[in-house]
Amino acid sequence: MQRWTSAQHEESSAAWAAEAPRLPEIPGQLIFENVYHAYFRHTVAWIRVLGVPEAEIEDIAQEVFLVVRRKLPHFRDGNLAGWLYRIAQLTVRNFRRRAWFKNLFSRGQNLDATEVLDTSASPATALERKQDQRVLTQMLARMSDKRRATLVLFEIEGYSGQEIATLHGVPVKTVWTRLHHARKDLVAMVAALRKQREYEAGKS
Amino acid sequence: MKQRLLEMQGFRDPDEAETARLLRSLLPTRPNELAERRVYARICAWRSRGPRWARVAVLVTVLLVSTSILSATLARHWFARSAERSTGLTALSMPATQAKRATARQEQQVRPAPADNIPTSPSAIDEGIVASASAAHVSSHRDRPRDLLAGKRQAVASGDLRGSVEQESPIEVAPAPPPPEEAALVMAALRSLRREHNPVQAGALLQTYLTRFPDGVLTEEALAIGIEAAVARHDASSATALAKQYLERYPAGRFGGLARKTASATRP
Repeated sequence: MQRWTSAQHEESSAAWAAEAPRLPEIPGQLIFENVYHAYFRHTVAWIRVLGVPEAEIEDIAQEVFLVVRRKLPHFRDGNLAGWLYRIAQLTVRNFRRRAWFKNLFSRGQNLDATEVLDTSASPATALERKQDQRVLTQMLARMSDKRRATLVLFEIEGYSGQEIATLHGVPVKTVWTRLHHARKDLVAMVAALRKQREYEAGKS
Repeated sequence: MKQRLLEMQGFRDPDEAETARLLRSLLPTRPNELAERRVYARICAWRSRGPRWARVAVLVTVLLVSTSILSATLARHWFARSAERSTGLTALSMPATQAKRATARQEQQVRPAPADNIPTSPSAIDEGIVASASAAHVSSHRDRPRDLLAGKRQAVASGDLRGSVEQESPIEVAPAPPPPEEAALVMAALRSLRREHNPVQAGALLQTYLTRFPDGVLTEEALAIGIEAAVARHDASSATALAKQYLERYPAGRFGGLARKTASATRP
């Protein structure tokens, strides 16, 4: 049984930081520890792409890997990344359902990823970035789940079309179609926003 | 291989350029080793709370048990209240025929205490009580002309009620309703006698009634029940005394037969 070594861990971290993430291959028998260390960062990225607030991502990741630990012995399919992505999708769906009930009774407030401050920039730049993030998040929220996930995975997280196709379990052409429509939707929303701002500026 | 919007340069469309600028504001997920270790430690420390079906089974059992306890409690409360109503207290709000039916049902369930050689007629007494009680309903009926009610109240005030009650049927006559305190005492005595089989308590309650309301609206019924209670507790002298008292006050009363039989049966 081959364990995930610290050297592999460092190598993976360096590769992730340097370039776009690659879906890892796990040689030999699947054991939970290896799956966890190979896919934790990907899972966190997927959970974020699926629209979970930043503050809840760790808890959801824990739930996802608890399910993985329980079901891994029964895993037979070859598409491990797709299987993990599906578990993340279902866990996020359950989380949203719970959050809906929780907000219904406690008037809870959803935390936003854009609330996280970027300390690397100057205050003015950080404020502008935060404003842009808020606008973009609102636009993404108005898109369908499939298009949004495809767009964010490709444009922001840096997954390739083939990898997205593997995760979603669809042909690559479907990914390009979704991406095309997602971009079109986003550009249309940006155009509408620009027109609205121009109208408001002219009015004032 | 498609090119990312983020990497494109020289946009012709200003909206596309703005879209790319917005997309650049959202950073990709950064690796967080601390979070990775933290979550792994939590997963290792996680203890399963048993299989899912077991949890569901426990939940369903708890729900079933709590629901049955709740419904049993509510049903008990409801039955107690309806039994209390059917004994007569709610006869005040029931039509006479309905009240009679309820009383008849109750009689089938709760049999009176055996009497020694003396033919008693509990249903007759009950009928009298119910009839008196139902008079309250009739008198409080909104369709009843006000002048008739006023006339009956006047009759009660002048003590001339008895004759009119004996001549007319309860629904037609609509005598004045007994005051709640009077009705409560007589009903309590009736309940003690019929339901609790406690003629001693019934006798005490009726004695209280007769002392407090010597000319009460339900005196006739109280005397009749008192006779029955005395017979039930084998108190021949009290039964005879009450029967004589009844016959003196109501020679043509509704329970005259019972009083006469009691007086003759217990005569030495």
